[in-house]
Amino acid sequence: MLVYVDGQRRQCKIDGKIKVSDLIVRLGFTRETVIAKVNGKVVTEYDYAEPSDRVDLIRVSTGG
Amino acid sequence: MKCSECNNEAVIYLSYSQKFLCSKHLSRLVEKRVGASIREYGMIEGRKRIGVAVSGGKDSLTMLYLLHKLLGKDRRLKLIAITVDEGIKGYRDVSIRNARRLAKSLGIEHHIYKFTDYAIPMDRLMKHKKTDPCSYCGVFRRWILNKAAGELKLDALAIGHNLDDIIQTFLMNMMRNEPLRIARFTPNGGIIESEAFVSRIRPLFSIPEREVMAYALCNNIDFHNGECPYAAYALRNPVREFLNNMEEKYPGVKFRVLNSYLSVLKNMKVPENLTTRTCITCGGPSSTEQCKRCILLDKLKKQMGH
Ligand SMILES: [Zn+2]
Ligand SMILES: [Zn+2]
Repeated sequence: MLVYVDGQRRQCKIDGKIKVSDLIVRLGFTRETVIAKVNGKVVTEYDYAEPSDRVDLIRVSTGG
Repeated sequence: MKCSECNNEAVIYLSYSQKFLCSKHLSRLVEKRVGASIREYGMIEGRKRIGVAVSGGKDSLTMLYLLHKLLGKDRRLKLIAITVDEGIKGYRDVSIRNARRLAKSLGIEHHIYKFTDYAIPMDRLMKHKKTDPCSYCGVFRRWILNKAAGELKLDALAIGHNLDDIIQTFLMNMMRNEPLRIARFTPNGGIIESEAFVSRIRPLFSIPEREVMAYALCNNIDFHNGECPYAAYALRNPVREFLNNMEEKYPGVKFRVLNSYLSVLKNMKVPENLTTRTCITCGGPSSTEQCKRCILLDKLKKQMGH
């Protein structure tokens, strides 16, 4: 799984499918502070990411 | 997950209303809420020239996009985008390009006002190791926006503060015991009203930051998502963290704080000594003989050997 935070690659060992909310916590964020994209599509924290997916977390509190 | 309103894939879960929304239904909700805020608070009533402060970030560009979508067809109104260039290389020069692109694509007149012309650029100021850069920047930025408003004959100036910004500021002003600042930070206008001071309107005040971001992403608004290199959010960061943690535990808490703030505002008495005077140096609005910008500029120029 390729994981990016604000476009920066993050090393993160994940075996198999993972719920987006769990991935958010694993990366040290909370639900309120990020928006997740899986393969370029905005998803909810209740969706899942597969090992072959690219996941982007975008932090919401930067700049105005 | 599926949208609670249709069969499309959801892009967001709103825990406060226990709803999953797709891109279309989220957009509808945001547009409906912003439209209602504009009407309820009379943000454009009797006004013709509305300035829109755009930094190039998600909030301001979403606001510009929304105002154009909601009000663009009204021939009596004119939207004018304004960007303040604080002189921060690698940050503002980048985001200005985003602002310019969106304004151009929407056919909105866009003006850029530079710190170089009216203040001291932040990069230069920070070489002198100034602490609390945000307060310098804020004083200069507010002054420039007032100046722009005067030159462009604006009837109001739209600022992209979202719900999170509003309630963070509300709590911070309580923590600092600054009730007058609460009265000044309103959805429409404020208690400082004078010819030299243009009314601020805050059309996004009822939209949580996360929904603004999701809206921007779903509507392909090409915003700049960087952080100011000088950002020093002394009190704001812990307040933001506290509110986010509370919202996770008690969904809807942010809206309840917003509603408290709106009730407090309605019941606040306007003190009379807040009417503004005119600065003896620049002629801008001021509560003292010389305005904050001119005092600060004189002081900094002396310190920096000008
Ligand atoms: Zn839907
Ligand atoms: Zn002045």
